[in-house]
Amino acid sequence: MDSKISLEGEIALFRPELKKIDVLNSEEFQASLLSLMEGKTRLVLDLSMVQFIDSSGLGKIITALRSLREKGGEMRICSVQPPVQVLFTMVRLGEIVGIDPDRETAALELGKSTGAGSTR
Amino acid sequence: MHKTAASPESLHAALAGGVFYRCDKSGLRLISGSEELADFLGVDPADLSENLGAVLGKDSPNVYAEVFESASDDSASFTIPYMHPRFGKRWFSIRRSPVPEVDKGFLAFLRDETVLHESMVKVAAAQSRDVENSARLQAAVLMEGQRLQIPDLDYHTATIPSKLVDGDFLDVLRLSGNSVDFLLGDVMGKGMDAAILGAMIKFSFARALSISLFGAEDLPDPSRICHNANAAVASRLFERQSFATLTYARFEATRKILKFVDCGHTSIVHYSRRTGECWRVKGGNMPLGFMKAQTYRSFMLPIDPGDCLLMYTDGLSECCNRWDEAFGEERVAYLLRTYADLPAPDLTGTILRLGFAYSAAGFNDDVSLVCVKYNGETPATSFDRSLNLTLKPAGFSAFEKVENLLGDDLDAWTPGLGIETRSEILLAMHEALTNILEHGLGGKDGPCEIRWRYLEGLLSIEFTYSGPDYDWASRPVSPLSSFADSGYGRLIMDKAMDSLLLAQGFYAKKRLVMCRCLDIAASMEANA
Repeated sequence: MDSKISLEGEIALFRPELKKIDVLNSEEFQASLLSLMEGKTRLVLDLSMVQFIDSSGLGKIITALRSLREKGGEMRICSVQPPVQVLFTMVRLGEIVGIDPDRETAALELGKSTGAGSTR
Repeated sequence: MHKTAASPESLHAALAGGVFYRCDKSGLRLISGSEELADFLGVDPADLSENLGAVLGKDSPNVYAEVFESASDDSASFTIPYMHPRFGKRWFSIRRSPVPEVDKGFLAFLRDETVLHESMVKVAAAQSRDVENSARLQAAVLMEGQRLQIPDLDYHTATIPSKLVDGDFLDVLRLSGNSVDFLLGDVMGKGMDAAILGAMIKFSFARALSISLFGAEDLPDPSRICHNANAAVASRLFERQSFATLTYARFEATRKILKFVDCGHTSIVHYSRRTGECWRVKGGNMPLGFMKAQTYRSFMLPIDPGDCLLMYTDGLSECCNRWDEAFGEERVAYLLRTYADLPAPDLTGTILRLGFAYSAAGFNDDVSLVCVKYNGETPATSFDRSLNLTLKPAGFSAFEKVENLLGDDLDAWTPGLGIETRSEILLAMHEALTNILEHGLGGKDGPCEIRWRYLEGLLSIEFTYSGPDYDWASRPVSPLSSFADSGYGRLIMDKAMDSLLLAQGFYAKKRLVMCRCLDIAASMEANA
């Protein structure tokens, strides 16, 4: 899977370079995500490249969020494109996870919520 | 002998316990026990010995004589009236047993059962009044009133009460020029109580309607009407430990849909003229009276010209033959398909006759039917597309083509539709295809017909396929807060569409129907 993975301080940044996260590639997406999350408790999921997510992709994001919280960690999502925003608004994803306009804001918010400082 | 007034105490003392005596085989001649029997009957012992039949049978000579004349040597018992010289009219039971070794006569036991007899008479009279009153109440209140003449709609209602008493109720209401509402329900229980509850529920619907209609520009949604009616009657149904199942359905001629609320009632059977198939359609809601603050959800079913709908109470589907086999919903659907060409009154009559012939001892429960046939014409400008696909487990990429085609049609048919609404509909299409492939077809290759139609602001998308009897569409929706790994497809479809239902056909056929109301004007305003 083409993904941009980077670590900024204590916070992992993950930007999947995919147009779609759906039933065809959601397992691969999850594998990359879990691999990145190993040993980490804070994650920013940058969806700037993603134009479509279905229920399968949504399920993987929820699983990752649950996994992080079980370890006492947290996740934020940023740079959501309009078609994906339609899904997130419809299912009210924002009620259970923070959604920010860009990765800087996401990292800042993540720092606040976990007591750590900004990574930038 | 003259009748004299007797206190209850003396009556009890004199007639308590009963008395034994012996008589010959004809019952006319007393052999022994004259003293006790004479005392019991309030007569002179000398009058009894040769005149037993005349004394005991004086108030019912035919009964007394016939019983002894026709009697075999077996034990038997019977009840006769007797005008007691002291206590007035009494009812005596006589039980006799043969005594063959003596003279082939009988040992008899005479007992006063006046109180029991009178109680039974009172109960029978009360039941009879209940039956008659309930039947009158049903005729006056519970069943449909004046028959309506509605263009392009051939409808008929019928009811057969099981014991003159009916817990069923139905109504037909025309609230606008383009729509007609049908109410068909069944109160749990029988008799006057059920009939009164039925009348009360019907009244509560009328009241809920009048309140909702006051000052309103549009017709109230059936779900709103059911909610208000339940709020009015739930506490009373609770008190009586009763409930009612019902279907409230509105046929809209303009949009060609049936919009209905199914409160735990039997399926609506839908005959599709276009495909020649029958579908059993259900919408998941609780019966009236289960919960005081119940939220009801309405469902939508697209109708084509020539289609026929049948609503019925469970007295039909649950009537049993002599092997205790139920008539069943599937048999009802077969009959509708077979006789769908008949006019609604003939169709209704045929189904009732065949159901009655099937049942071993007539209908044990009330049976009510509402049959609706739509005879309108296909719209001149029809936005209607059908596709026949073979869905394959490895063929998810084919989804994109279907979604693109739907997207193009939405752009052409509904110019001005907001991008959000368009995206939501395409998401619902994607999730429906995924669910049908994963659950509906059981993970195997299978044909699937997809049809979408747009008419007067209503988009409907139907999928017809064959698969296992797994009703994935009625599974509980997983909210995101459950943090489940999967199951969000249903959530997306539910959120994106106004109505989602899975109908059962014959031979494992299934039909998923999704509908969404599109307010193009509001969409354009929002986008502007």
